[in-house]
Amino acid sequence: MAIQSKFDYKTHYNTVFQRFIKENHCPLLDFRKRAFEHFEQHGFPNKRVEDWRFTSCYEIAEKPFLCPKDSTTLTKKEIEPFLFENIDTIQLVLINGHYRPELSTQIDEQNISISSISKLCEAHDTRLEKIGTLVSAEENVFAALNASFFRDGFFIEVKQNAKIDKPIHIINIDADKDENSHNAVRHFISVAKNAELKIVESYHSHNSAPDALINVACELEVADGANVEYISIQQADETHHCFTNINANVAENGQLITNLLDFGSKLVRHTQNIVLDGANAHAKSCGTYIGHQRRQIDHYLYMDHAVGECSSEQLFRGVLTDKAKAVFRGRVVVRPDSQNTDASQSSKALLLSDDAQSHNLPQLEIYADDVRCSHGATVGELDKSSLFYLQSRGISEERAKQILTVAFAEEVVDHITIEPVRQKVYALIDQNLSKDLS
Amino acid sequence: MLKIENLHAAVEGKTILKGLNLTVNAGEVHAIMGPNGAGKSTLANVIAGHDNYEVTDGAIYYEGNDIIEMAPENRARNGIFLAFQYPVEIPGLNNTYFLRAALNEKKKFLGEPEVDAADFLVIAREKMKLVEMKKELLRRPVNSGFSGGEKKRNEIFQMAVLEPKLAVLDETDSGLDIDALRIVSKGVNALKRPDNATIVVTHYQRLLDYIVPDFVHVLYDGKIIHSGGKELALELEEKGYDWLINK
Repeated sequence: MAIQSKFDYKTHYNTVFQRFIKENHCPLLDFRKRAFEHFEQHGFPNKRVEDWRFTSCYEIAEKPFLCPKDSTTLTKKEIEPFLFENIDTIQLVLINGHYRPELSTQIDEQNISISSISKLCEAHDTRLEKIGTLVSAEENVFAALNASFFRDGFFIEVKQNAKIDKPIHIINIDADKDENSHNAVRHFISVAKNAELKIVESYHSHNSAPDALINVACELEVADGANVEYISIQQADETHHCFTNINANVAENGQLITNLLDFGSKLVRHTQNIVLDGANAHAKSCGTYIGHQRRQIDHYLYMDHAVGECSSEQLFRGVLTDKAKAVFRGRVVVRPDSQNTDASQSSKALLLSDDAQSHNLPQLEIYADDVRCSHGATVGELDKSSLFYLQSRGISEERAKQILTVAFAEEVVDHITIEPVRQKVYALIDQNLSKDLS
Repeated sequence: MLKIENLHAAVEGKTILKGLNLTVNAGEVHAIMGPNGAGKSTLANVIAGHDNYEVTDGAIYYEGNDIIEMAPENRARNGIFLAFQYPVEIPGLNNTYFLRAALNEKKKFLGEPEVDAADFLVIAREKMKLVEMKKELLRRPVNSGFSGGEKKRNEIFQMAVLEPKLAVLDETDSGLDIDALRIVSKGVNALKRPDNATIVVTHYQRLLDYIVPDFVHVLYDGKIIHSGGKELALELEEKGYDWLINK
């Protein structure tokens, strides 16, 4: 079930891995070794593996990806375009997967601690034991590669009852001029009881060589009554590949909103597992994507109602044109004792060309009897009656189509609670769709 | 203003209108009544130019020109307005943005200067008072999550902003309670001028207590089978349609 490519990728990665662990002594060595063993055993999946039926790893398997060198940095001016306007954030910059303190906000606060993972490794910090508890290396091939090769990222802890007013903005920049760059980063975010945190992670490219591999793992621990919003805005170069594993555990009365926004890369795949682990936990998983040319955007989502009295929503909208493709696999599992569950799922894709395609695969597995679950999935064109409604008010058919396409793409964006970030996303949508709608 | 001659129209191959004639002059209010399935909504949609309805014969003259080939947006810019029976919900599209775009399309067409966001807000606030619409509905997506009454008020609010010459109200009373009906009617009456006309399509007489018509027409099986003054509505309320159908 693994790809048999001309290029012997297993030998290649083995060489890279042996060199990597020699250079990076750290308490994570065992974790990395186990992850790498998993990769060696399974390799890159071929299309006969159910979860990879619509997605080819062949191009990635054929390339000798390497860890980027850590010598690259950028100036303050160069990272300016990646910042949000009209908002003060705790800015954390990663370039080629390495923390850049000189470009980042240094905080000195009682309520929150932010450490770079490379620092924790140097210090043999015991907190590193948490790494891998929510995103296991066995999850999929990219989780295994991430665990084997990530060098940096952030360990963020918010103390009990703390409300962090400023959002954290993690700016993840790929600026590797060398080819075959595997930019792997990893975060562990722990928000303690009744605390609140908003976090935005954005991905960018800056004069990087084409075809880079961005590989992110993010573990979110939402404690009792905590409230977390996680937003990812992906604007990497059109030739890049971007894989994320974003997993979360939400405890009693906890609340999590995630919003995945994709405007870049050639192949994007988000894997997300959320476990609702205590009564009255709530999770809202949102996403918006725009696909041109041959871009592919995958969402493999898993919402686990491990206990009863919880609610969840999945809301996704995509606009696809040219030969773009999307896969949405939304799995919702309601365990046998999870009574009074309220789960909803809505995934809609708008196809602007005959060659665009979308595969919508809702999977509801309900083992409890007292539940409310709904799902709706549509793939297709603009709603005719909406089009006539606008035309009947004097708006031309062409302009009405533009307006409705933008409205369709912006529907889920309204769930972003940070106003300046929402405005930025509206602008990105307008900018991305203007190419298709002119 | 409007002259419909021998109009035949079909939906998905099924003929609904079968030779309808109607003349509406400026300053007049016409009521179209009739039982379910008679073709009332078809008539309203055909006048507005919905492409689900195919005109197979006859003509619609608006200000002297046959508009059958005219796109719906051009009919609107020329002053035709349809208040929908079921206003469409459009999540993601801001009500204010939508209506300002519509108004500016019309202004552009008429060669008038466009209205900027600030000026539009002044106009909108003024017109909202007519239908006692809540201000926050301006910021919401078009009709999204609006109650039945709010949707109908939004239709008349749009009409107030766009100032049509010919307004066609398609079952505007359906789903309204008596207070909403009164408010919506008050709005329609306030917009009445000697140079515009209104066609009220309705199932029930009760709307005509508030919007008093100059003429009442009975539509049955795709044709107007009887016309009269406002007293005809009361007669229909009392006797139903059978006495006309069986005549």
